[in-house]
Amino acid sequence: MTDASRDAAPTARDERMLRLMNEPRLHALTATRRRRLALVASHIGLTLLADVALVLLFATDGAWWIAALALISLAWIINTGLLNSATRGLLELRARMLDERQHAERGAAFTIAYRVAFALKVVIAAIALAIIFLSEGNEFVGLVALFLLVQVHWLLPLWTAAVMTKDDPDELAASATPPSNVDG
Amino acid sequence: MAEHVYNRLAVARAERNISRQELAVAVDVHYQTIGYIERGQYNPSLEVALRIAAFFELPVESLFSLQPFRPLTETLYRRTL
Repeated sequence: MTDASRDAAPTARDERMLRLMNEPRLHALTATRRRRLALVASHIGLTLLADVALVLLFATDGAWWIAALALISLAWIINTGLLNSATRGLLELRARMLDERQHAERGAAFTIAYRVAFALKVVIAAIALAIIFLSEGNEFVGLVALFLLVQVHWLLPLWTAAVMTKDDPDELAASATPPSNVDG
Repeated sequence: MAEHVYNRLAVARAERNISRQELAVAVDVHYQTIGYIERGQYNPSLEVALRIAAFFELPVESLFSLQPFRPLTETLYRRTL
């Protein structure tokens, strides 16, 4: 928290987000590795479900897919919040609100996510381009695949950071309170 | 390239009856970071190590070392198990 480039004073939003990300009442929900993996799995599932609902919304005339999409989005937002809570805001907080260990972990999460994402992107892009150029009338499917590619690029660091998060010792799990140690 | 840095943080903290949370506030890091350092899952920067040493008013080498620390009983009473 003392790097010169991160010395700007925290804003009210920074402080509010720090308290939110360190909300102790949520910690029990993400306290074990098994729970965090389950949350990542459900987040991946909800993201794919939302994609399906979005595609069906445009591909069919069923306007009720909007309601389905809204419900899925609500669950997705809650799940995203829990993942961010599990990482104590590792990817959500501004750099000036993180300490040196958190900066190192954020870097590690981005590095691993980048390596995995790169391989996935190559595969998905190849499939999408093959569909677009080799099959007639399936351009829409190709565009959906490219959209998936963008989503993976966007969300993989968050999923990776949540999977990498380690358990708190019992003392902290039982009595953790939001830190008040941030001064820029 | 990473080298393990041994530390006596948990011992010093217990001796002074200071929680991880209190130490974290005093040295301006996240409370989880103290646990990471104590468990050897994260090696602090020199700056953080010096701030921790200053907080305990101890030389930094009494808290952090590249060699394993000898048990206190052995150091104080020259007894080995």
